[in-house]
Amino acid sequence: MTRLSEIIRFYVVVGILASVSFALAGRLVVLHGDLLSKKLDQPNYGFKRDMQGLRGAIYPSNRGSAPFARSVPVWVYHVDPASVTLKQHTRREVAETVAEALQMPFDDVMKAYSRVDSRYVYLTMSSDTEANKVLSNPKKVSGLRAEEIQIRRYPQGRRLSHVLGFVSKDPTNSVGSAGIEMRYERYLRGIPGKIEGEVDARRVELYDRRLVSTDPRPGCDVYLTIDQNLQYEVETALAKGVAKSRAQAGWAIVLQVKTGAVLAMASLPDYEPETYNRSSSSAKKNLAVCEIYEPGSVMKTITACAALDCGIASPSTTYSSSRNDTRYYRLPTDSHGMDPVMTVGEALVHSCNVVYGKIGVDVGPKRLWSYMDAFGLGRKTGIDLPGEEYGILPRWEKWDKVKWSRAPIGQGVAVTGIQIAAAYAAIANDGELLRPYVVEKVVSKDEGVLYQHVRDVRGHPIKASTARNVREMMLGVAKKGGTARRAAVQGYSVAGKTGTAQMKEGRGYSSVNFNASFVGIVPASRPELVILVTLQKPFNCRSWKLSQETGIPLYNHQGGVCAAPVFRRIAWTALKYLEVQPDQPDDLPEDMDMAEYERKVMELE
Amino acid sequence: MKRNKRVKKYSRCAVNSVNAVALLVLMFFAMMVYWAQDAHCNELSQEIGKAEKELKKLESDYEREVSSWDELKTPDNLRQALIRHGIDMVQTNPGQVINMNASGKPMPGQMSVARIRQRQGRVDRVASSQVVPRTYPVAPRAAMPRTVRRSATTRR
Repeated sequence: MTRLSEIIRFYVVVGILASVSFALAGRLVVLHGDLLSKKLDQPNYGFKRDMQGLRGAIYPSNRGSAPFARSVPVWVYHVDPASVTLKQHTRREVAETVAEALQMPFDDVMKAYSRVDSRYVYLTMSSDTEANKVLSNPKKVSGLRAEEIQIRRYPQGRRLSHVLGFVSKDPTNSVGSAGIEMRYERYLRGIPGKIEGEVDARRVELYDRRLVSTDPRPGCDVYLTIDQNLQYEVETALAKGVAKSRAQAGWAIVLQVKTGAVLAMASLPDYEPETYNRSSSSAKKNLAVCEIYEPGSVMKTITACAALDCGIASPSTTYSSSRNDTRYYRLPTDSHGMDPVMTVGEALVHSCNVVYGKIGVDVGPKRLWSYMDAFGLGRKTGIDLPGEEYGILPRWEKWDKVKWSRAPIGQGVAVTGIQIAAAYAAIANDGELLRPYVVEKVVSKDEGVLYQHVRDVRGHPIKASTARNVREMMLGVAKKGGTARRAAVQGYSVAGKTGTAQMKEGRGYSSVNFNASFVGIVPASRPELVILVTLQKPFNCRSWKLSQETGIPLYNHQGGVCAAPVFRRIAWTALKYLEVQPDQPDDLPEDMDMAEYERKVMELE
Repeated sequence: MKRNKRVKKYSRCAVNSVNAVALLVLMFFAMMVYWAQDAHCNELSQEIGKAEKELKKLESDYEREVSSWDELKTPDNLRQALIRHGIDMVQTNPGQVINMNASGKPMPGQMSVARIRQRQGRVDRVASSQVVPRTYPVAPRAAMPRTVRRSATTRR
C-alpha cells in the first residue's frame, strides 16, 4: 500500500513537472518556432511591412552644392469625411484649421469635408513638419489621414531635366524612367527593408513578437560631371538664343577636351521632371543625344581632316570654286564672293561647298567614310545616357556619285550633337577620340566609391599634326571675313566652324527650314573646351541684312548669325568661370597684327 | 519493533515530499523568472519600438530639412535673392579684366591696363594742377523769403 502511494506521488510530481515543462516549451515554440509562421499566414495575426530605402541623390560636380535630384519623405493628406468627431468641433472649424496649416484654399478643403459619397478624398501632399504637428492634434483636427511616402524632388526644376530624367509616379515602386535616373537605376535604387511580426486586435504591432527586422538601405549617390553654375549659364544663353532667332528647338553641349567630361548639356524645349506626365513626349527628348540631323558645313572640318591626314591636300592647296564638273551641279555656292580660286584653309573659313565637294571626291568615298567612321559618326559615342542614337552613315559602297560630293559637306549623313562634339574634341585633343561621359562617380553611403569613371580612349582617327593644322585653319572662321565673326571671344582664340544645314522635307530639302550650328574649340592654342550650339528651324530665314565688313547678305537662319552669338556668350562665361588663362590680348582687333597692337598699347601707356 | 518500522516509513515519505515541493518551488521560481524576463522583454521591445519610430521621424525630418535648404541654394534662388537685395552681379566686360601673373603684376600688352593707366594719368593731372575753383554768386540773405526765416526762428 505504502509502496503504491509512493509510486502515485512520484508520478504526480513527475507529471506536474512534465506538464509545466511542456507548457513552457510549447510557449517558446509558439513564440519563436515554426508554428508561428503558419499562424502568420492567417490575416488576423500576421504582419508584414516592406520599407523603401531612400533613393540616392544626383549631385553636380560642384562641392557642397545642392543636388539636382533627391528623394524626400512627404505626407499625403486625405480626408475621411465620415470620421469627423462632431462632438468636439464642426466640419467648418476643422476645414479652416486644415486649410490654414496646408496653405490651401478653404473652399477646396471644405468641399472635401462635405463629401458624403467617399471615405477617401485626396487633399494634397506636403513636407511641412510644422503643419503635420498641427494636423496631428486630435482635439483640433479629425477626419484627416496622413500617409508618409517618398517622392522624388528636383530642387532646380527644369534645370538639366533631359540629362536627369525622371522616376515613375508609383509611390511604392518608383522606377527611373529616363536619363540618369534610368541608366543608374540599380545604383540609385535603395534596398528595401522588411519587418515581419504580429499585431494585436487593433492592428498595432507587438514589438516583442517581431520575427524579421531588416533595415532598408539607402541608394547610392551619383556625382555628375555637370557644373551647375555653367549649366545655368548655358541654359540661359540657349533660351535667349532660341527666343531671339525664334527657333523651334535648340541644344548645346560643353565638353572638356582633356577628359571628355560633359560640363553642361542643354536641350530646349524642356520639361519639369516632377510633373513629367504633363509634358509632351517631344519635350522629354534629349535632343543633344537623341536627335539625328544632317550636320551641314560642320562636316567640312572632318573632310579637311581626312584630306590633310592622308596627304591629298595641305592647308595651302588651291581649288577652284567654280562648278566646272557635273558632279558638283546644284551644290549651293556660298563662297561669299571670294576669289574663284581659294586654298583649302580659305574654303573652310568661307565655307565653300564646291571646294569641299571637290576635296571629298579627291579623298575618295572609301577613305572619307573610314575617317568619318573613325571619328565615331554613325556609331554611338557610348555616353552614359539612355536613348542615344546611332546616326546614319551608310557604307561607302552604297554612296552614289552625287553623294561623293554631298557627304563631305554634311548632306546625306545624319549625326547627333554629341557625336559632332566628340569628333571636334578629338581634333582639339590632337587626334585622340575620347568617350564623352556624364557620371564621374557613384558613392555608396556604406561602402564608399562603387564606380569611378576612367578615361576611355576610343581611337586616334587623325595624326596630331593634322589636328593642329586643321585647328589653325579653323581660326579664321571667327575672324574678319569668316562666316562666324560673332563667335569671336575677346581674349581667347576660337577655332570653330559654322553649319547651316537644310532640313529634309519629303524626298528633297526644305528651302525654309534649317539647322543652324556652331562648334568651337576654345582657346584654340591650348584647347580646353568644345562647345556645340545648334538651333533647329530658326524663323524668318528670308530676312537678311548686309554684312558691314564684306557686303554679303547675312541671313537670320545661318549658323554664324544665330548660333554663333550663343556660342560666344557660353564660351566667354565658361572660360572666365573655369579660370582659363587668355591666350591672346584682351581686345586685339582682328584686322590688327600683334606688333601693331603692342605699339598701340605702348602709345597709350 | 513495530513502532520503529512506522517511523522509518514516515521519514522516507517526508523526504520524498520535500524533494517534490522543492522541485515545484524551483519550477515556480523558474516560471516567475521566465515571466519577469518576458515582461521585461516586452517593455524593452515597446521602448525599442518607440525609439525606432522616433528615429524614423527624425531621419525623415532631417531629409525634409536638408531638402528645403537645398531648394534655397539653387543658382536661380541665389540669383533671385541677390536681385532682392540689390546686389545682383553680371559678367565682366572683357575690357574690365586684367590678367596678372603669379607675382600679382599685370601681364604685358593688355589694352585694359593701358586704358586704366591712361585714365589714371588724366585724373592725376587734374588733381595735381592748381586750378582755382569757380565761385558762384551767393544770393543776399535779405532776398530769402520771410516765411522761411521765421519758421527757422520758431524751430530754434
